[in-house]
Amino acid sequence: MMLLNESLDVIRISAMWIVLLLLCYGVSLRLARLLKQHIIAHPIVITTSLMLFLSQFINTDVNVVMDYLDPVAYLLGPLTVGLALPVYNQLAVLRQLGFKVLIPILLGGILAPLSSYSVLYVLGAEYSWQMTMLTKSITTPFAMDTATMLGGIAGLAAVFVIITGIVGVMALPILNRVLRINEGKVNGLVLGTIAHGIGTAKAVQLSEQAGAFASLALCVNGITTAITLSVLLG
Amino acid sequence: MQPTHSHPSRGVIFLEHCASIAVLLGVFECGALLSQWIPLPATINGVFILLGLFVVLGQVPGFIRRTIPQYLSHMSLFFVPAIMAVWLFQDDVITHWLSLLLALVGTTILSMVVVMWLSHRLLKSS
Repeated sequence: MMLLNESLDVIRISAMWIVLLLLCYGVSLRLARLLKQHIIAHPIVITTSLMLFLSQFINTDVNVVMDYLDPVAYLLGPLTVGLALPVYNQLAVLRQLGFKVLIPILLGGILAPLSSYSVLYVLGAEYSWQMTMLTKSITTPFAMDTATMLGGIAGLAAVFVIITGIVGVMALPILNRVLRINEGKVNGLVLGTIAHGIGTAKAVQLSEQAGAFASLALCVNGITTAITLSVLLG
Repeated sequence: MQPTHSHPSRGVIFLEHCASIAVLLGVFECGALLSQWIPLPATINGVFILLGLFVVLGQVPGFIRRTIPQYLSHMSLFFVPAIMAVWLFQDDVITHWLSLLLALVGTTILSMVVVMWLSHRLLKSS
């Protein structure tokens, strides 16, 4: 009976945190609209800041809050599977373009992690940090597993992946202006290859075409990284 | 287009959402199961399974076409729990701020420039 009461308590507190998360997300969407979708007002940044503030305000350990939000974290997996829809919708275009799409994805997929790894190596960061950095351009759940496999730190891998994604999303409009390139296909490839899931989420908002190319880049990048790593580990 | 398709009742919309969520959860779990033999993450296996289903069917079932885009537009929300981990590493991040700035911001932008320029050149000629 006591065990049942304890589980009910966990469910109740978990539900409370999920409701708070949804409220924070609602506020961040409103704010983003008010600030005309300015990069600083990205819902991910605002929602996370509000949730961290709330956890400190209520005096609850962030680790504990993350545990209570586990159901939301789990749903990221099935949701990512839904990216098959934009890929399918653009399948004919993708089949026609072939290697013209694959080359930038493969190059970006190698360049992004290797260049950041090299920076940490040259600056003499710890081995575990270097290994963690290698995973920064893969989707979060996979990056965490791979980091552990390579002798890195799983939690830190999530942080690197997320920061990379946010930097990618924030830098895109600036690069669009500086390089004078602003095409749905190109934006999709850049976001999916470099900024993984967060970039793909942004691409889906930009246009159906950008979403499809980003989803494709995300999948191809995941596969090539898996192959590269299995070669490295084998 | 038939009027029943453009204005489905609330009950139908609810059932469509239930069906879509069931499909996504089912396919994701199949992907996770496959991960035991194929060294790819469950999500990527899942994307290929669902894509394969669409190709075999020759079309995307209407309930999926109507619901999934709504979920995808709110994908950002589902990253928040993982991002909150930033807080746990704040001391490390402050200590290594310069290396991190260079490794995360500098190289990310550099890679974006390369991919953007290259894909623009390659796709322009097509």
